[in-house]
Amino acid sequence: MQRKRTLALLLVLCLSLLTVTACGSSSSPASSASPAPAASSSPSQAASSEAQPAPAAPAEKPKVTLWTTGSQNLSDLFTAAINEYNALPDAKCTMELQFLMSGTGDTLLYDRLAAAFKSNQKDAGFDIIAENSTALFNYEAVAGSTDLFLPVDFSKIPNYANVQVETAFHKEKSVPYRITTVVFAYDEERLPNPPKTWDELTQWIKDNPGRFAYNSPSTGGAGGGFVQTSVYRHIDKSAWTSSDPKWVEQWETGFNWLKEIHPYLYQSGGSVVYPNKNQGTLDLLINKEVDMIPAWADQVMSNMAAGTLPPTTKMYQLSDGALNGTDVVFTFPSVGSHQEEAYDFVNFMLSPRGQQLCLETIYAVPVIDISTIDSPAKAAVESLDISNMSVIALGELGAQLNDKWDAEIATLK
Amino acid sequence: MTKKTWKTYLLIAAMLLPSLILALGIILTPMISVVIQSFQDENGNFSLEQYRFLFTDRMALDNLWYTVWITIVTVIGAIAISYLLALYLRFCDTKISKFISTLYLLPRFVPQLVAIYAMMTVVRDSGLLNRISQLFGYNFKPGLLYNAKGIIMMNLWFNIAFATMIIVAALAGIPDSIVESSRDVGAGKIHTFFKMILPLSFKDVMIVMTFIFMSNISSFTTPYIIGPNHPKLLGVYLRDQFSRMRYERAAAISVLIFAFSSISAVVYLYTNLKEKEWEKTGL
Repeated sequence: MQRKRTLALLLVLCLSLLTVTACGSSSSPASSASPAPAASSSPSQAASSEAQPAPAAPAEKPKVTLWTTGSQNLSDLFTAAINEYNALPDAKCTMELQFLMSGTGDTLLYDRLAAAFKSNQKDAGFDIIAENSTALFNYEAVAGSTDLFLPVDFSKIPNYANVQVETAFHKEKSVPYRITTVVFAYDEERLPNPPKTWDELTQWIKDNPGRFAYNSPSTGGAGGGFVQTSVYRHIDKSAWTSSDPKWVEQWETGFNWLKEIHPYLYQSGGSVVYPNKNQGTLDLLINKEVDMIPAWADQVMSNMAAGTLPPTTKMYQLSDGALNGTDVVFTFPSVGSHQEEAYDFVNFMLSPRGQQLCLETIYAVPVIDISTIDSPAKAAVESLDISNMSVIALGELGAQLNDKWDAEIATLK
Repeated sequence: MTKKTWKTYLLIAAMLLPSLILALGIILTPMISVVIQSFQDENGNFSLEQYRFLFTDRMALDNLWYTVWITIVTVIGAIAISYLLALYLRFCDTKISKFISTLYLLPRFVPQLVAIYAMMTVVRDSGLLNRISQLFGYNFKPGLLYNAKGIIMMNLWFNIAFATMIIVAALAGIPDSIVESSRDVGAGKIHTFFKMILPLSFKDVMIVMTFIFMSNISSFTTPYIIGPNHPKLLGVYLRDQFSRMRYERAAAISVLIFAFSSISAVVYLYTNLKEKEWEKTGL
């Protein structure tokens, strides 16, 4: 009897322990969702913190946290840049990276900022944000205030004088550090004479059914950029950076064009398919299932460097309306601190060395005169004509545009 | 038996307390807040707007029925295949069956994403099958991705191993003597199956069905990667709405998914209770 009872007690003990440990392990990812967690350990995080021996007087340098979101390549870029910056003897701060992989927590970055902003925090650990300028309007919209980001004192960033790019976001509040753009990518070997204008593109798509694809706009910026450009090239330029709902009624022409090309797009299993994510269409091009796609220039170049896309892959824009791109900027949220010291890191990123890092790690288009950069990777970027890249920043209208696409294009048979 | 004193009860309660607190904290609290949020409009006022939208909007309805349809097909398909496989493993004692019985659990150990991408490289229209067919001068395109066929195929791949595992265990619990005695009194194979084996394993089949139903009604990874643009499964639809910052609508979709899971939970409980009734009357 006695033994039986002890056994039962032991069993209960084991079970409750098991529950505690099981719950403990399942709650750990949740804890990493709290702002500025010490334990949110992306591999880059671990790498960057390991590489901070900070030989000279570590106590004097303030810690500045950079937040960004995107694909893995962005994490690679900032890990490399921060390692190099922190090793500089005259670095004014110790940089730290908080990286949110896109699709896992990127929607939460503006939520976190908005939450910190609305609760009037002053030192919430969001010291610098690196983000597409076209996306930053969304940050302001969620926070409900244009005071979310602080004005920048450009005199403290000497290298800013060399920047040749104008941002699509508030000029006085952002420092552009690279440009990224959507292009048409094709394989020269399979498509020696690509269409030159939008009309020729329409004709080419109809003549070659199944050989063109774009990814569904809500799942990746390449398809999103293609849809936005298709719609907005018919609308006055003043609409391109406006979130005013009055422009919605002018979307029809563009959507009619998207409906017109729909039956001639990539098909699988007997129906037209819009792959999910930017990589979805890239895979189709890689596997030779299609001949031309809209894609991010940097992703095409990365795939070429990795050998998954052949060296005969070409990128270009149509002459009567380039696909959209965006400058990517540093901004300083009012919920962060150490702005003065952070300028020093931004200055580093704008130096020829910083720009070279961007170019070589993620094939970013530099914001300074490319002739001042010395890199073998230059050639790939130089061929990109970004002078007529269209900048479209729709703010909250972007979600509406995706909704309309989901309702009218995705449902077509 | 020694009598359970209040001390024993106190001890048991004290030991269950930590897990109880955790369960309340990380399961029940968020669940309640999601339910509350689903009954709000964008300004936080009480409203049935989200549910009205989900049950009237054409796309939302399409998504709903598509999800239910795919889940039911998955459940039926997985059970049918698993049951046959389990019967084979239980009643055929050959080298092949032993080999299969060590292999069939393999899918349980392959991470979902890896499995999906592996399957994609084989069955996509330019995948392995297509390239093999090209060697022989054909251009075979399976057309299995980005539609319901692909999702169901992948769901089966994941669930057959699990279902077989449970059903094999159930069939193993049926003594050979029962089967033999049934055969002795002249019952044929089919008769034995329907009169003895199926009723004795029915409870486990129901349990497997509820588990497969619950895990597939809320599936995300598979339909997100190889699903169509429209209709979408509820999991993907939820993520969609969430990323467009429609948190109240996302909450309503969660509640809907939860309601479906609850239905299958009720079925599960009912089957278990019914079993008890049956046991009371004796064999």
